[in-house]
Amino acid sequence: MQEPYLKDRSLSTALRAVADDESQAAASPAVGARLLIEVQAIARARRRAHLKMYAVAAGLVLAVGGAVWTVRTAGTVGPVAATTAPGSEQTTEFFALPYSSVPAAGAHLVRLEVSATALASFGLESGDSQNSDSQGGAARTVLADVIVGHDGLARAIRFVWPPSDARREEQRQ
Amino acid sequence: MGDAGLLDAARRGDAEAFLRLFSRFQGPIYRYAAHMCGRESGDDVVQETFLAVLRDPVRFDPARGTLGGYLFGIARHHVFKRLRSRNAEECSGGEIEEMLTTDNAVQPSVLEGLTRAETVGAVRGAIASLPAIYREVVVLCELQEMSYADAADIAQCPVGTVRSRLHRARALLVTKLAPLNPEVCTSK
Repeated sequence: MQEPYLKDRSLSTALRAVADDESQAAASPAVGARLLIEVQAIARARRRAHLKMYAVAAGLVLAVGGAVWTVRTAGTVGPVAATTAPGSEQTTEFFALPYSSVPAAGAHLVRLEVSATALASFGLESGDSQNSDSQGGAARTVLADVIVGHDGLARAIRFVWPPSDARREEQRQ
Repeated sequence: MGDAGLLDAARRGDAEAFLRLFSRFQGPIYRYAAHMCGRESGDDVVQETFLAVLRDPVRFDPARGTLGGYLFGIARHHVFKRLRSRNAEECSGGEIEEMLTTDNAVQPSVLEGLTRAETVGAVRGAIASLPAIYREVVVLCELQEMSYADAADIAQCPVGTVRSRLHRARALLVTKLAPLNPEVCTSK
């Protein structure tokens, strides 16, 4: 039994000697250098990605801010999207009027009848179907919402067709 | 910073974290790879292992094992890929033997009165001549002093298999080194 034990112990010692001998063996410095370049490339790519992200975020902030500003401005003077809720009146978008650039602290909406010829001045079709055929010539009128500032100056206008007229308009199209 | 944090930082491009990681593991991985498929392959395996780690989007999960085991697992994948591509169970043996121990092959007449360096060369040659699965457990358990459990984790086999492979590997080494007398083995 002693011989195998000695052989085993000798083998362990020999293996230990091998392990000690190569304990400092390592990859060449060039490997570390190449990998470090890779790490730095990753860092640069991440920085670029972050910059892109910040740029996109800044763009979004500007876009949203611009949109909010536009909507808030439109609340007094600018054009807003036309509404076409089913079964309700149909409206055009708001059209700016000459005093739209004058700042207004507040405004209110006034509905009134205007001559149908006013449609043409905003590039709209002043077709007969948009109004009662029984009315003729210059007497024909259309409804309009006008945004009037507290200073009394009109900032914007949109044209309105009551539900019955709106349905007729849709059928015509 | 824990191992997982160190690895995450390195993957984010933190050079300091990477260097800490590299300096800690490159040596053992290099020695493992050099024994398994030759010294020049050692450099390549180390590089491929760390590149894979840096580029791999899969996160290291400390709950599933140690960082060392994770890195050795990747290194092992590259080692065996090389061995398979060379279609050589013996390739590394022949390569390392030729490189390190051409004149120190285990021959009774030559081993008489060897110096310690020569003994190391002879043992290294004997290890290199082992089949890969036996060579691997010798490198991991004997030279790298890993636990059977860690070696089993890397070799992807049960602990019992590691034990039996190591037992068989040691028997083969004893046979190969039989002419080497105990006094020589205990080094001069």
